[in-house]
Amino acid sequence: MPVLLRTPPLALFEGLPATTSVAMTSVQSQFTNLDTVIAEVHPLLEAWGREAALVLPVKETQLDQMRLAVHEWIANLVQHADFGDRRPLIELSLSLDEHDIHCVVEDNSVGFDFGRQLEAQRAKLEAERQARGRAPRRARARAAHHARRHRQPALFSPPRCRRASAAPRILDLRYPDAMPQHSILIAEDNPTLRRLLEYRLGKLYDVRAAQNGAEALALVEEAVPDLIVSDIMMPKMDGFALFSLLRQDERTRTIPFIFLTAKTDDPSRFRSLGEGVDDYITKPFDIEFLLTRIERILERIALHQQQLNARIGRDFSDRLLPKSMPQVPGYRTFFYTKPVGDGGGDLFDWTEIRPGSYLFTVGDIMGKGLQAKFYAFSFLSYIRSTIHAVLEQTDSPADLMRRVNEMLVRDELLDETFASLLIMRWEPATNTVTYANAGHCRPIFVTPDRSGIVEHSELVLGLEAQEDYTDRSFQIPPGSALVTYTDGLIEQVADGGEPFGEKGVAAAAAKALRTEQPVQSMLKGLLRQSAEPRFADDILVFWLERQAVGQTAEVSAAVPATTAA
Amino acid sequence: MSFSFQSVAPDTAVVRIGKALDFRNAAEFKSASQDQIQEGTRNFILDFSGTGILDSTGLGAIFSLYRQLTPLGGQVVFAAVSRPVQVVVQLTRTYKVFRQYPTVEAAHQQLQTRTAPSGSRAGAA
Repeated sequence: MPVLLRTPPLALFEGLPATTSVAMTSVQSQFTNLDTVIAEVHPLLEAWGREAALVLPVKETQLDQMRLAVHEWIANLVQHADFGDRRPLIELSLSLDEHDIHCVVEDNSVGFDFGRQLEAQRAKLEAERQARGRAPRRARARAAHHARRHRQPALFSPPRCRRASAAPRILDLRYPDAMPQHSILIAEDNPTLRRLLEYRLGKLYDVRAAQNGAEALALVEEAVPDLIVSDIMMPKMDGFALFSLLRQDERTRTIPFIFLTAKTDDPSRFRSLGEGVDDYITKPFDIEFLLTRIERILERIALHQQQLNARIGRDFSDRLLPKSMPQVPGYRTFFYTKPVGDGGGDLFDWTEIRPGSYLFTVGDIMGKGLQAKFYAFSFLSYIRSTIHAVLEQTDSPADLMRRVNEMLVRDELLDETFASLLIMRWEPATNTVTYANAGHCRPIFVTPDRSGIVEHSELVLGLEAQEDYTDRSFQIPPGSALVTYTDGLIEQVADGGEPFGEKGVAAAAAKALRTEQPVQSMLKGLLRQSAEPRFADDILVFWLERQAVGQTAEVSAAVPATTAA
Repeated sequence: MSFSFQSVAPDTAVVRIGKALDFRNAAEFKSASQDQIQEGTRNFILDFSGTGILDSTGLGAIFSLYRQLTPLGGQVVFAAVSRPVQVVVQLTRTYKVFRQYPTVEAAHQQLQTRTAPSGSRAGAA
């Protein structure tokens, strides 16, 4: 039963009794949707011309109250809008279909040049945009995408002027920003409500809209959205069918799904919730409520993902880290690691290749988070198997390094994986360490008299297949320690604003020598001098110390080539 | 964070790295340089003037670029290397792989000399 009202509004306002505003108060309380919509629409109407389409899900009996509310809105519009010296002619139409009242307000003022006003507005925005500099590529692409999608403007169709002088232009009022947005798909057959949702949700999310379930399915095929808001009753494919199809597909079954429907009957509600719909919102609905529900669901999913990542990360870390340390008389060994967030690609491993000979691996897979962790895990497995495979032929760290490097360059699975790696063979009986270093943080060597950096280092792994690596050896004198670590330590920023670097770490190590817990002392020392009271990146330290008491015969041991720190 | 690419020759682009190349923008660097390779760029001059941060993820992104360009006969060179970047380059010994030039202009000049066929240089002279 369509109701059409077409009338110049000023006459309407003049005819309204003085009690209107009082009546409005009570009316408005029933139209929370209208409030929201007006608050949104009003400033844009001023900027864009003055036609708007609203959909307000109300019962037929509320039509008169509805009309009053809309009149109030128009009164506001006329009061606030700049019409120049022209007399506005605003036309209002209300129509009622199966569930909703459609209300269309048009400004048909004679001689009012919307085209020019829009053009001016567009030029102003363009100038602002240029003043901010060239938009990043992705933002530009999104703006273009947005403009394409909104060629038929969301809530506002082009103003119809009796003497329009310029074609209406689409304005992209949303500033393209660099923040990644959640993507939301709307399936709604009612064009006005669809546009309203598209507009309102579009302020917060990357929104696509479909007219029915079949269209929505096609859009999901193009790109899987983060969340779907769907009507139930739609032509071609209804909401139930859409939901059910998405649940059958592995790729789409976890997309959060909200029904937004006029079906208030319990069987529909129970069926939906029983089948796993995340929320069931009935019309009339409050858009703020819908937005809150969407935000909560997205938050919950982000949190879940975060927790899952942390759990997988911890699991990887546990597997990547040694359960024990070699126990050798006359030596003390300490190991410490602390990841930040999901952690990264730091790795450490040791194995006793034959009685009295130990192989240590310290490294860093380039990258952050779970991916680096996963690569570190595969990489470490590879190193372990390489060690076992070639041990019969060689126990040279350089030989192992060459093989690992070749693998990194050639193996397609590990394509784009780069790593710094330090392989050390330790023979406590002769107090000898033999090592090859592929671009890893250079170890620090601390004796009772001085501290230095174990200099020799070569190219990181994964860049050049033919790169050669060489072994170097040195002996550990009594009361001295070899400290290996990852880049989190040297990159930690000191209170002077500069990173500690190798020298800063070496100084801290020297102070920690022969303390009861040398790694803890060293880290505490560094933190005391840090700009921030915590480490910004993953920390990994391995400390190998030869005790001064009970020393063996090699008093005049050759020390490694170091630079004084 | 965005990177500015400037073509200085049909196959050579200067990339102004800016303040940082690290885990936050390494993916963007990768995809942007990918576009450049698609468009025919083979030589990249990375301008590190004023770069305060180059972490291992950022370095990894440069390595990927290098690995991709090598079979295509392309090059990655560093220009105006800042101190923090120099530290990382020294640590990883990557100065063996990435030639360094004091300025973008010097890098460009060198690339031109190396890549231009001798005939065309004679013709230009």
